[in-house]
Amino acid sequence: MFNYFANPTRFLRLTSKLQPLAMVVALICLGTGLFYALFKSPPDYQQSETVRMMYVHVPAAWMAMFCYVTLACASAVALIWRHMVADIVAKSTAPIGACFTFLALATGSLWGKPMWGTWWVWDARLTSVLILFFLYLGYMVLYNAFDEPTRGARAAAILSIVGVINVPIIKFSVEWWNTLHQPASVIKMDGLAIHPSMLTPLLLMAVGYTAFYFWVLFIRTRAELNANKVRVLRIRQAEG
Amino acid sequence: MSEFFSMGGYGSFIWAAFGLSAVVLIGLFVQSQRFLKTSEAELSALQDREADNGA
Repeated sequence: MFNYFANPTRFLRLTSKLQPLAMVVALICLGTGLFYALFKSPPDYQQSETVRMMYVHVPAAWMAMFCYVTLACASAVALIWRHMVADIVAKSTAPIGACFTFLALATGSLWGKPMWGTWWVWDARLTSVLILFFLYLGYMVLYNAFDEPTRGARAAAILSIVGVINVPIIKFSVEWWNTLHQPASVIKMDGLAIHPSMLTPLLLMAVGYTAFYFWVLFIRTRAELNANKVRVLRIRQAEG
Repeated sequence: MSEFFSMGGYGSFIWAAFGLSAVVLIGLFVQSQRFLKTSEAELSALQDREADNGA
């Protein structure tokens, strides 16, 4: 499959077909998700109305990790097999992941103030997500730090692969350390631990965020492919 | 209505979280869309020049 879609023309054809689909799924899920999140879902018995923050905080945090794993996998494929499309997927994923990570941190902070009494605390979960944010920024800076684009791409890819160690640390931070952040509470070992009235908006928002990621990813990959062609044409025309 | 916006007294936190999410995601989308448009314009300009040179 990798070989098949490593061809930029085929990849372009596929993404231009999938882009409207991702757009429709994103808009429908986010629209109904917001309606359920703000109107239909009940207040929590402990957290009252602030539980509604969950519907923007948790999907953003899930996507922050999903995007990072995608970034690292695409980088590995780009590094090992020199697939241009994988490199473009990685490069295009980084800013989207950085936005989701920023939102996870910012909405978490806005949730922390009323519930914990503080905007920020250096506990393991919050700190490891902050490191994730810096990994995204580091990737983007490193990518553009070299005159020769392929060198930047290789350096950034290596950084993203090394940084993947942070993902299980984020996931298990709430179990390994004593954190102010609560442990996983949507799915536990013995199954679902959330009432359907709260699960519905959460899942809708999560699917909406995922579809939004693909929607923006397809736009950005098309733009990056154009930018690559521009680079090649400029060199060719400069050489006359 | 005002009860809905006050969100049990937590309105400022909740609306800030939802508003910020909307601003960041819409901003990301707009920036990506602009990137696509400028890249398309640059590419077609270069391709026109290439066609002129070839002729």
